[in-house]
Amino acid sequence: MNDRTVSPQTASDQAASDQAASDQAASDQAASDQTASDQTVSDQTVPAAVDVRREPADPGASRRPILSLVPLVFRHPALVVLTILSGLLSHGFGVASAALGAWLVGEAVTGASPADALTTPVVLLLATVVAAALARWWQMWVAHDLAYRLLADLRIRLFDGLERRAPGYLLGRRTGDLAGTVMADVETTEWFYAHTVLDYVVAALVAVGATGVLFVFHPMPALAVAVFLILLATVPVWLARQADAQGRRLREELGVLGAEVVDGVQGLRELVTFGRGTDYLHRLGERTRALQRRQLAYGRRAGLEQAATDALVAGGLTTVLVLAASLVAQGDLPMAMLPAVVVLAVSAFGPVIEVTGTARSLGQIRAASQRIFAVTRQRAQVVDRSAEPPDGPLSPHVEFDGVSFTYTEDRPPALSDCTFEIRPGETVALVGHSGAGKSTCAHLLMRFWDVNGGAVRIGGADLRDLPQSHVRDLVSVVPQDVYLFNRSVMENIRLGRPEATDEEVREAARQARVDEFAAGLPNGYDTLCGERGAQLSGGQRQRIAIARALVRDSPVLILDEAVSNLDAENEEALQAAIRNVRHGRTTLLIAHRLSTIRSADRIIVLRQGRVAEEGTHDELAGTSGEYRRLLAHQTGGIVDVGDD
Amino acid sequence: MMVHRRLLALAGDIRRPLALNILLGLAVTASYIAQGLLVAQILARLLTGQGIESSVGLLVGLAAAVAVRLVLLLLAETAAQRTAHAVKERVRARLFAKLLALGPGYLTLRRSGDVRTVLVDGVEALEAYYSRYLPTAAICLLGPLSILAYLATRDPLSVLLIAVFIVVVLIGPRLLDRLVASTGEKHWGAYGRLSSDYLDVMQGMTTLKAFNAAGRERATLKTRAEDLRHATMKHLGVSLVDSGVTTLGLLAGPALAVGVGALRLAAGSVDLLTLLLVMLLARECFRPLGDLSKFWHAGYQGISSSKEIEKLLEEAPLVAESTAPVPLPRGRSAPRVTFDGVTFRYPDRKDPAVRDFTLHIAEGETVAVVGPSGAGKTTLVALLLRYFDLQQGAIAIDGVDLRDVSLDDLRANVAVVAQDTYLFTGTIADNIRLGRPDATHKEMVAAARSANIHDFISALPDGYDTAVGERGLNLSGGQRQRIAIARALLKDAPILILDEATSSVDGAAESLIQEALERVAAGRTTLIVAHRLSTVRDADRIVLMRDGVIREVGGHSELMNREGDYARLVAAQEVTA
Repeated sequence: MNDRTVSPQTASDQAASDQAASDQAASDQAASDQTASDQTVSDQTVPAAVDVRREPADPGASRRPILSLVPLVFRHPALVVLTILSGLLSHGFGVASAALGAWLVGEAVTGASPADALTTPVVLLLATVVAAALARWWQMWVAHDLAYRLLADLRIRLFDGLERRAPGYLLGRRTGDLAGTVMADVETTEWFYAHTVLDYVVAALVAVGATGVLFVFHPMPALAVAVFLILLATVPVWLARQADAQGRRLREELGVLGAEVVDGVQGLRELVTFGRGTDYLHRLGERTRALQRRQLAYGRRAGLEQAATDALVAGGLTTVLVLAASLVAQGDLPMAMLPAVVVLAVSAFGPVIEVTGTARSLGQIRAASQRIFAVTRQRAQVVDRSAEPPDGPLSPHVEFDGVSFTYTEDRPPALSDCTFEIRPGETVALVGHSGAGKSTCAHLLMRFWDVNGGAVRIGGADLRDLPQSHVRDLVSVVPQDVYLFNRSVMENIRLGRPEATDEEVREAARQARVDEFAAGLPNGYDTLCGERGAQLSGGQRQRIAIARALVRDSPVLILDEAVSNLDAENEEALQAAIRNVRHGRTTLLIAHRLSTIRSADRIIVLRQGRVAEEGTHDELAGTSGEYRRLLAHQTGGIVDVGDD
Repeated sequence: MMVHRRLLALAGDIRRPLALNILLGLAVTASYIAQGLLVAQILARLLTGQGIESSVGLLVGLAAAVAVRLVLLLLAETAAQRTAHAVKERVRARLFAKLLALGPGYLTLRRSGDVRTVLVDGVEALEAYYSRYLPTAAICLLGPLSILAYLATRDPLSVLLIAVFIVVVLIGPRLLDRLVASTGEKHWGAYGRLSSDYLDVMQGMTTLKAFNAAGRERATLKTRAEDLRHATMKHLGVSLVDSGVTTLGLLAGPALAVGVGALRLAAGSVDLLTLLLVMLLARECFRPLGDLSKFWHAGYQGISSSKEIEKLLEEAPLVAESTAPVPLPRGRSAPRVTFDGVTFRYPDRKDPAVRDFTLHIAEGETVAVVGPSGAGKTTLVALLLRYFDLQQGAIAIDGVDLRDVSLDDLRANVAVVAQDTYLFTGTIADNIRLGRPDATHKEMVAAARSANIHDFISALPDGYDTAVGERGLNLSGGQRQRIAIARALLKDAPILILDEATSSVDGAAESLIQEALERVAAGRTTLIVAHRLSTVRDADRIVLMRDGVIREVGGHSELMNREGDYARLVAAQEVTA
């Protein structure tokens, strides 16, 4: 598999994926700008503008998602063959032992063989039974080996899909939020791979095989068995539409119950302080009962299917019994074969019954695979034209030259003919209302997307001519919402440059004022940052992010300032850290605080994707332009937008 | 066998639905036995040379047995669902009632995701145990026993052979369970950790991409996944032995009985009908055992989730309700709130969050508590709402110690506007009415007007009936806050707490909220907690906290003149011209 950003898909499913991707491009890319405009390079908080209602209406990643799961199996052809083989042996020996037992009875009854001659078949019978048990163990083992390999493949494919898409939107959700769902979806497919897909093959082969053996005895019972087998295999199809609809309603209702419980847990404080606990319990009870009505309907249908299966088996048994009896009466079948024929017919049903049972869980697997493929079939947002880094070092001179950019065609341009430069070592503050294009500038400078018109250059080189990895070596980012991995503080800082020594990491931490609070953490720099870094305050997280950028020592820096939630103490330390990281670097500052804005060398005011004004604070504050208007709306040192 | 007394106790009294389940299951088994008996008879007749015509009556009986079973299977499925539902409904209600009793303080100690998982997935996982595993276990005891008892009257030796294998099927895999349980747990634990590492990395994908670390992380995860798969497969090699043993028992029991029976028939020591009965009924003995093995894993899930459920149900309450509660005085517009020498330490922490804290808030006074995060400000709010009890000192309202007041009474007297207001699934009106469900529409609109949110709501297409929450319209931080204020206004409680009420809001939104807040605070005793200092300068008094203790107290100008910590903090925050 390819290690880089290029899709690891094989040529054969590329065609299918292109189709799927275009089906869905419209809807999920529509979500991607509203998105990108008010959020820079962050993985967390869902901006208010994101409409979660979009999610259920996600596009069919594939019309037959379950069938799309199947080809993956053939990445491990040897295991597929072994799984089928072991399944055949396991079921085959099972059927053989039943038939052999019945044959023994027939022989004994009719006295066709003397008692001594039966000893060998009895031993053979026992050997068959032991072989069946061994084969069963082997089958489970190989099937799980295959399944776990496929799960590992799927996880990596999801990783790649998300990597291609980040930081955009998928299925109406941010890639980070989607990760949890799709990881659970992968677990769901285990059932399909270990217990379903190849079992169908085995069941079909065993049924055909048993029928074939019957045919050798006499065509009539074989024909009867074949008819009943076909009926049996179609049982899940009879009520398939109803099953689908019921399954969907059931999942929806389960989702509603889940949301209701979330309400109760997240809103517990409100329920308790407003004394509304009892009302909520009633609501929860109602929801639970509503779910139960759905489950009951689902269960009734499942029960009906089970009853139909049972009746078909009994019907098959009776038919073969009567048929075989009349064949014996006509002398077409030896009397001694009668029990064997009947038992063989009944055992042919066994594996088929087993797999019709598994069909009931297909609905869940279908929904899971749909989401998985929506992610894995993502095309890259940016494709490298060249894999070669430039010959010499590039000067950290950033130019936006007539840049136009639109996230999707149905949305207004995020940037139109936007031109400005940041000279080496200079700090330029971008200010403007949310949606003015500040974050888009950052995205383009990171080459998360490519421009539609004009060019973004570093040191005179068009970013499109540089490999993405090279661009991201040149540019470091300190995002507004910092994502900390559940690793030690040390490792989180080292993320940017894995080969950094402990001393280098500590030095960066000192500069970023991380050392001030790291010493107070339970295990110092070895303290885990906790699930999503929950134990650290916003300011502390930002300081770790600054250390992360410092340790990379890249010449260009994007600094997206946090809007709120800092107390005065932390703020002092954070400002000091920001001063340190900016020092000597070409900095694009997405600023919200007047104090920060004033510290920039120049200010660029963006308005609807264009540069409205440009100059120093003193110059701009003196005019009566956009900057003045922004200042007039500031409260408590925050120059931004009202969110209303 | 897995019949857990505690798991049964968890479900409450489900004897009747369970008994119905078992009865129906036994009836199904009986119909299989009847089928076996009839087929044996038919085969016996055929094998002794009688034509199929002699068995017409038996065949009709066979059809009847099948038809009856069809109905029974349908009924059994419904009964199983009903048992499951009775259990789930009861357990979920008990869990939530427990959560309400533990209160919001509990959630600050636990991850809310875990609690949610227990309430939804954990409870759903119980289903299979009660509706499938338990009835099947009972049928396994009764069904095969009665078959064996009947066969014993005809042929004790075959019964012995079959019984041996029943024991193998029931006990064999469970003996192995013990053997593999410890290593298994370790493996699945490692597997779970790998999954959560994947999740961690995927959630942080944008960061990885920005730092050129995606390829590296991918390679690391891939190697780890491969290593873990190897280890898992080694472990599975042992743990999957149970499916082999079950298969062995299920096949070997009937096979051996039939094989030996055939030899004995040939030797003339058993008769034909007996052998046929052994052949057909032995399979029926093992049918419920096969089902039990199938349901065992599902049932096991129930057992593991029941551990989590019990853990939650057994949590000790964080505060004890007074046995003889004193009612808070009514009719007074704004009571006095006193903190006297309050010391409090969170259960899992070393250091107290609040130490020897004394503050008297006069009738109708507005006091602001400020300080860096971790200073103990929010703890004061939790203590005033009695989410926790103090280790030392006392908090009183109009001289009545909180511990002597009933929790409902206390919370009816306090309204909170918090930083992260939760909006419930429902309409905007529902959410405002949370403050007082019996409020008239007029009163609700009046509250919304005072909270500066009425104009916004009226402009929405569905107005007050607009759906909000998880699945509805997403509101901005400022809008949510104003709905929270409307809620608090409607509740009309004499004590008001503003807990970082404006800190998640920026710019222009803040002035609208500030204005609304001033309206709410009028005529009430108000405690404000904030770290943005610009929002508290109009308070009657400002308390500066750090590390759980009071550093400075006074009015804004008084504290500014003192040129202490407060003045320094203000200077740090307000660098604006």
